[in-house]
Amino acid sequence: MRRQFLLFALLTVGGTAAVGYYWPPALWAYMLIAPIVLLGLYDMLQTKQTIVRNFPILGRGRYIMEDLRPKIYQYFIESDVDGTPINRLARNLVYQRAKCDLDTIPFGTEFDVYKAGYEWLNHSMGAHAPHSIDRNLRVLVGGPDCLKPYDASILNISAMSFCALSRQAILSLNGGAKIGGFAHNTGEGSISPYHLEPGGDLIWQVGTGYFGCRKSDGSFCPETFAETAQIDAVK
Amino acid sequence: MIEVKMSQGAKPGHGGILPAGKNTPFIAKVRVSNYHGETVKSVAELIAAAGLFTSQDLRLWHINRRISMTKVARFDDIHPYPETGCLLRDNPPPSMKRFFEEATADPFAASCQLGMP
Repeated sequence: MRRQFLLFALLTVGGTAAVGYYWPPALWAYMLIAPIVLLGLYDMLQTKQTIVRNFPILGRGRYIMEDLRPKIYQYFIESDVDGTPINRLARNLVYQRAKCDLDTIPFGTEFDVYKAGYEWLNHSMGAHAPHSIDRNLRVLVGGPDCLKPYDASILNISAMSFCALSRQAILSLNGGAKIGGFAHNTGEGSISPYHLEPGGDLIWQVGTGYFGCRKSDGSFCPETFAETAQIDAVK
Repeated sequence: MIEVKMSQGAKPGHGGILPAGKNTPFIAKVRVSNYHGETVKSVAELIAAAGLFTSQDLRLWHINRRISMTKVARFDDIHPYPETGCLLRDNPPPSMKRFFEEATADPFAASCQLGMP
């Protein structure tokens, strides 16, 4: 391809010069030709990328396509149910519920219900009307001896530390927990000021690094643990 | 015919831009709460449809899993409940038997290192 490119460069540059000799306005074509030829020569002479060295100009197309590949795949090729770890259907569900839009669509499912691995809950002959049961599903944590039992929601926010999530994300999640009456797991990064500010319930996660209850030599610190565990938000 | 569109909503896969002004801290936390509330409500609907009252009423046998084109298994077939106290009686369920045999209380090392010189 290097030879073809040189031939192309020679023909366009020479041809334009020849035409321009008889009809000078044709020289404007250099505006277009010159950058291509110069870029191609640069590609041929550089020693960093084999592809563009062997395929001047055209080799660059590969990088453009590599760049577009994930986008094309995501928008056009991937189905609604086969993305991992979160497929489009599940993600749309989150958006719809977050906006209180309609989250179910009548007329069937997009899942292959005959595929091995499909799971479901059977409908009962003696079903109850949805509004006839308590729809605020909760589980009481702590027995009769517990001084502060916690009436936990069945759905809470899983562990993601501050810094893995931004300040604003932590504030939003904890604020949501406050409004909805559910708990927010701090992640092993422990309790940041942003976990306490909105006032939502917390589940304090202590990881192998003992963050939040750690002595300077890295060992477990019972005093700070006892102190932090008594914060009212820590359920 | 002229349509005047007064707002632009962001929808995944349908384009649209969420204007910065719309993405306020208040809306962010309301959305977190909405998602939680709607999801729990949806679970409650499933529970009511199954003829139950609370999530604590759910048992393994309420859930089915298709294991092939023609076969369906109940969850209690796939994951049987262990017998009460079986771990204390040194009689683990079959799925845990191997781990019990291989485990030892003394060293705290990966088992591949045990037999090595």
